[in-house]
Amino acid sequence: MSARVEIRNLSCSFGGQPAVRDVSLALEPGTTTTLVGASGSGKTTLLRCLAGLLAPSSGQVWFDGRDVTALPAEARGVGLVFQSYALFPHLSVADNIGFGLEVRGVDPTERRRRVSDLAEQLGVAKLLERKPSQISGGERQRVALGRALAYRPVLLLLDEPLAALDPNLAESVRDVLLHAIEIERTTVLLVTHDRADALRMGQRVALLRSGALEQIGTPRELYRTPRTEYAAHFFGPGLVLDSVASHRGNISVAETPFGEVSLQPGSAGPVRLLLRPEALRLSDCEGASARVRRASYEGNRCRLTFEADGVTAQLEASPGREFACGDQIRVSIDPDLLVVLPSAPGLPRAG
Amino acid sequence: MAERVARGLAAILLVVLLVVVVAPLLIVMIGSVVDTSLLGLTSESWQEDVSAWSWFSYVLDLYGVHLARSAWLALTVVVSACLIGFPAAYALARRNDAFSATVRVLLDAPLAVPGLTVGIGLLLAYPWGRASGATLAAGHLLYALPFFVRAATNALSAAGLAELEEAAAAAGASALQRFRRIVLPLARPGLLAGALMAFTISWGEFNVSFLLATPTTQTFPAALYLTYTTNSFPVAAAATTLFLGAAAPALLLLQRVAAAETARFGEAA
Repeated sequence: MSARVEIRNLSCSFGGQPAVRDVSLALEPGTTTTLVGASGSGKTTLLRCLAGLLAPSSGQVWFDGRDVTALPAEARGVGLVFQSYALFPHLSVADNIGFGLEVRGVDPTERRRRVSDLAEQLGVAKLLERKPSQISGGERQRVALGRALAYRPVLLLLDEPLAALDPNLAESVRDVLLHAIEIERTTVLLVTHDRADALRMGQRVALLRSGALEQIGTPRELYRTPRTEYAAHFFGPGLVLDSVASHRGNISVAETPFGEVSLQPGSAGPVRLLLRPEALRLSDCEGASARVRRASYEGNRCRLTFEADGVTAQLEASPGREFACGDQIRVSIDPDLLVVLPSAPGLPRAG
Repeated sequence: MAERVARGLAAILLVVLLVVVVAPLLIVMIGSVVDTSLLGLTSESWQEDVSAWSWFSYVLDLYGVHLARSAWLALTVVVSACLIGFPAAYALARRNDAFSATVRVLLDAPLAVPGLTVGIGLLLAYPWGRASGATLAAGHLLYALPFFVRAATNALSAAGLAELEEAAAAAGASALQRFRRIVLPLARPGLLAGALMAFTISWGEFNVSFLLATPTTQTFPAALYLTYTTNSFPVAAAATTLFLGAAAPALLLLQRVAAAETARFGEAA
């Protein structure tokens, strides 16, 4: 049932203002892709173009080798979950979930079976007779998901599905959502502004910047090997260090305030390194000596802000040890977690 | 202590309000059935041998044609308001932008224009519609339409029409299905409230009616005025009671509609 979705050179403008610029990307059948970006980066616009609610200025949308760009929303068979849920206030939960089946003329017995199966799976089986105004936010989100899944959509589009929920609730709804996606095996595009959600909820992550596709890849690729500085900083802030790599035997090394680090063989010349907190480690004997500037205890870890060789950086230490401002520590770099930034800021971009 | 004073004041205000607003209505209604000398009016009196209630049949004989005409006119206004106002309200609720906001503010403008001015304006602009009553209906519509459009627009935009229609479209509903299953049910409370308001406005409208009326298009309120100035008080009082009697069900219905819709949408509506 799930479709291979292809977006080809899609652009979309409002009143001369481009919201999406020449985006090309493919969603493989049955996979979940997260679409992430700062607010105003064109995520929702792209989603609406896929749903058929917005006509692109140029470019095409293909479902399974069929050009659907000109098809209206109702002819696309797409499931759409709105950020605000947009449940029909005059219909019961059951009628909301069954709406897509009803308008397709599915016979009532069949419809009831599908609705109660989905309600069971989403944990809203007890609420079927209620009106949307009589259920909680988390329950509304589940009902909205049920309405979008009921008619087995070829593509499921989710617009910030967890943004309106408080963190504890978001966690349980996230589990329900991932479980449902797994069972339904549909192609999913999930829009989010939350970096952590983007990384943990998608098999692939697409990063948008000012309407253009900055990078697409697996979560690991985006976090570990960002193709631009923007992508690097988007997924996790850290310390940027300029250094020079030189050959030493058959490896490359670069000098940093925290000691030498070995890089991929073959790199030489100026390099720019990104040290996220997890790339820096406390060590007992080796590494550079540093002085603690601030220690903030966060329960499951301790975040240390420290200074070494005139450079200020952060790392996450075990919460078991107590630190005080002014403590002498030794810091080393975990070369596996080091990010080497693209040397020139203006690398050619995809698309 | 302060609370008791406040309560006392509130009670006094309530009594004053009742006396000022309700008492005149009561006097008219009582006057239509009892001997007017009891009300201190000595100039006219019922004939001794005639039951007071019989004045109602007398009034019906005399003004039945005006009542019917007013009812017919009000229905015409309601239907026209629906035909013009529903599409307008739908468009306003769907656009929901600066233009729509401006129009919604300007909607109230006709209400600020004195009825006398509207009447004279219509009279001068469309004299050919006077005999058929079309100009009169247009005048009523001018007052009824803003109320109708406002009620319908509010009902639709409160529900978040644009997004709900998009949700329905994404779920596979055609334009006709969206209209029947989403737009119409959401608009219904607003349409009903608007229609009832249009009815009561047209039913009670006097200024425009009085100016535009010809002997063959005279509405009941215009006729009522002539009754008060030229006929006896008991006749006028009986006529007024009949008039009120026709407006009351519309108002009661309005309340019932609001209550029913609240129940239908749950506590949020």
